[in-house]
Amino acid sequence: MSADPRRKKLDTAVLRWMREAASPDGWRIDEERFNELALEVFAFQARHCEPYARYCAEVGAPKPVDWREIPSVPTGAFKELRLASFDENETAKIFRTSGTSEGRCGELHLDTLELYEASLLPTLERLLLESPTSPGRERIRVLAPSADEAPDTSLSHMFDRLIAKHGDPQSGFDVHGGKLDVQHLLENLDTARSQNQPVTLLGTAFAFVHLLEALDERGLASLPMLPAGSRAMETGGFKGRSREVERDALHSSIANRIGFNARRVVNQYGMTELGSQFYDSSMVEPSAPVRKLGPPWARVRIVDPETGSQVKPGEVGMIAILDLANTGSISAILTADLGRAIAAPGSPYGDGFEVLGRQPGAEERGCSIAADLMMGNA
Amino acid sequence: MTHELEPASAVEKAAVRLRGEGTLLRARPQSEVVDQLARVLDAWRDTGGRWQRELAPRVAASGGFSEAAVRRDLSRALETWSGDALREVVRKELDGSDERGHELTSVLLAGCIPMPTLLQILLVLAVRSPALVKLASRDRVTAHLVRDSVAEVDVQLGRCIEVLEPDATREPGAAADFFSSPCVVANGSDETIEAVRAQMTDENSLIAYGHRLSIAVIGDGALNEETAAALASDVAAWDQLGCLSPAVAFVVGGSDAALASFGKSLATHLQRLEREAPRGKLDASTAASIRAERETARLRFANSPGGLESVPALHASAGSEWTVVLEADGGTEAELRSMPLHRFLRIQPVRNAEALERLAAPLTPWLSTLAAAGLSDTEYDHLAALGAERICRPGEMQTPPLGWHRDGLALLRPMIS
Repeated sequence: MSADPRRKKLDTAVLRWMREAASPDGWRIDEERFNELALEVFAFQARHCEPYARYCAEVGAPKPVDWREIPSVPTGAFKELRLASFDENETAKIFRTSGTSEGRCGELHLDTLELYEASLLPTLERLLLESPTSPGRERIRVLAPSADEAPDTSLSHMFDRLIAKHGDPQSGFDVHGGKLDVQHLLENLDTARSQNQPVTLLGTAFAFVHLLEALDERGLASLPMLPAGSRAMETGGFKGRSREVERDALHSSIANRIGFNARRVVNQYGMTELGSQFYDSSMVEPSAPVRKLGPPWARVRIVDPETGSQVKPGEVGMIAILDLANTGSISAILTADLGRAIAAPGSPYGDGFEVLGRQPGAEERGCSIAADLMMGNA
Repeated sequence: MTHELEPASAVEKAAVRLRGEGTLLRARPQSEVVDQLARVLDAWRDTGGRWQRELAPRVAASGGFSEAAVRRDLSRALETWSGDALREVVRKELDGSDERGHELTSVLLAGCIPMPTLLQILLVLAVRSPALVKLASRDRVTAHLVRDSVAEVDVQLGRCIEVLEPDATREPGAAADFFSSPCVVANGSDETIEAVRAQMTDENSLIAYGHRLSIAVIGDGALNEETAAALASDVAAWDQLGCLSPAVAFVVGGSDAALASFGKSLATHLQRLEREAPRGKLDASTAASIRAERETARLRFANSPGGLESVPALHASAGSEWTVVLEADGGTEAELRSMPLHRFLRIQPVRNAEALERLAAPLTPWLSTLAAAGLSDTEYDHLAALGAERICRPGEMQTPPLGWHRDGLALLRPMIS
């Protein structure tokens, strides 16, 4: 919990919800509770994060009465300013995004990791690990560097925490010194097969692509199926490309070539700027429409890029997220990603959303390279 | 033993027909062909004429522009593209020689700006080579109208143009047929050009026009209403999507007051142009980029010492139609920021020409046109270091003369066999 006494009440309330969610029947979508907490968190951040306060004044936002009215900060702003609601000398951790051609990294400043971890673990347990009952039993292999090797990478921290709680002694990281240790991973997968031990394989999309290429180089068209209950999760985008098509193809390759049931290969949607993450619903609701699900303390709305207003259900717009795990930073984030809400009436996990790639009709129009160049695609 | 012949692709059939037509074309006197093409160009130049009238609504629909904007941009771009200008190009480059182009030239089109399509087809014919033209997916109109306009003046010349649909080369063997022409003129991204280059052999030649970008550099002496109006016109032309459009404007020197006033003037003119020649439709991804860039700028500027009142400043339409982001001079810390285009202009002040050179350095490999005004001789010397292919005044960026050597290439000479 934050050492800041001004935030103690807020953190306590949010943590209580996160801890409840870790109990078997504690995963509850509660609109009223979310709204109340969101407004309190906003009031705190608008008072104690000066850059955010100035932004709110600039956009002329009236005092919100609903969480959807809270001004969202674009993710790009995390590259520009220190967006924290605590004194700089209280900083306990800074997570950084990978750099772009513009040379700046986004930074999430934290004065405590307690909320961060309290958010990520129950979400992973519920939406990816299908509510494990006992710690220390899962075989988890990670296609990413460890938190020791990449201390400012939130993804490595997340995987590190997951292994610490749920990984068995043969769990671990398979990227060392920036290189994927393919041989070691393949041996681990063989061992898991011989022990009939399900494997959870996690990593960035790029790391999975590298693994598949390594299989090509070794002349391995496909590996034997992994034991029932195995699952794979990839995360991260495909810069400037048609995300959906490539992601579908990647999932299919992961399933067919590494040996997973196709329904148990999922995507995680997350970003350094957020304390919470979202997962494909296919693991927990395999027969329902696939949608991204997050924890009850993070909500998504889809906004019209032209007006900033929420779009009608089913329409495409920008994904805006309000994440109560971000009490020490800014909770309301506007991403540049496009998405669409997907309703799931009656689901205990609530409605969700899908993340979309480029829109039809967005193909090449002009001959200027400017937009691509600054996005690092040239 | 019998061999079953592969059926000829539509591309191959077109190529065979064109080669036959090309035999007739090559036998015609150069001056006669060029005179006919000059008549075609003059017909296109006529603002009230059939070709501009027919093209504007159709390019607007297929390319996502507003019709009023296409009409404006077409008439401005064609203003100096006269028949006499074409004759002058032929005179300068071929110098009275009777040289000809190849027996067939393939032209791969890209994007939705019609000017390169019009010019490239006419130039291929000017060297008396038939043109096998593959349409871009976002402009399935211009090449057909160019062929019709040529045929109206000269039936045989019209028969020397074959227009292929964008997916024509998906047929088995069709891409190889298209790229086996002795001369290939290709437009497109670096990726496209590389893919085309991979299909070339020692037997055929490639003339490639890759994607580029352009910039404006304004000195403090030109921070005035006239320059703002001219620059706004450049930004609005083809919705800033052309490689001749200013992706960013640098201002060298100038007081905060002059900069602030210039930013406001630019915004006023973009707003006026939005009324007169509205920007076209945006896909959601681009609209999202513009919103994200605007909001990031708003947050940055709200936290700058002077707030948003002078410099830096954000001026923007209510929707995504136009945006002016007037940055602060970041000194040695200044960096180039995203350029979403679609009438989104960032004005980046720099202290002096050295700072400009440093800041613009990452753009130089792709730099096409540089619009400059109000600079000292020393500052102009620094501009030379940026290596722009063309320097012009603001307001002229999207209206290059017909004879301009785009990408540093002569117009006709590279197509001579």
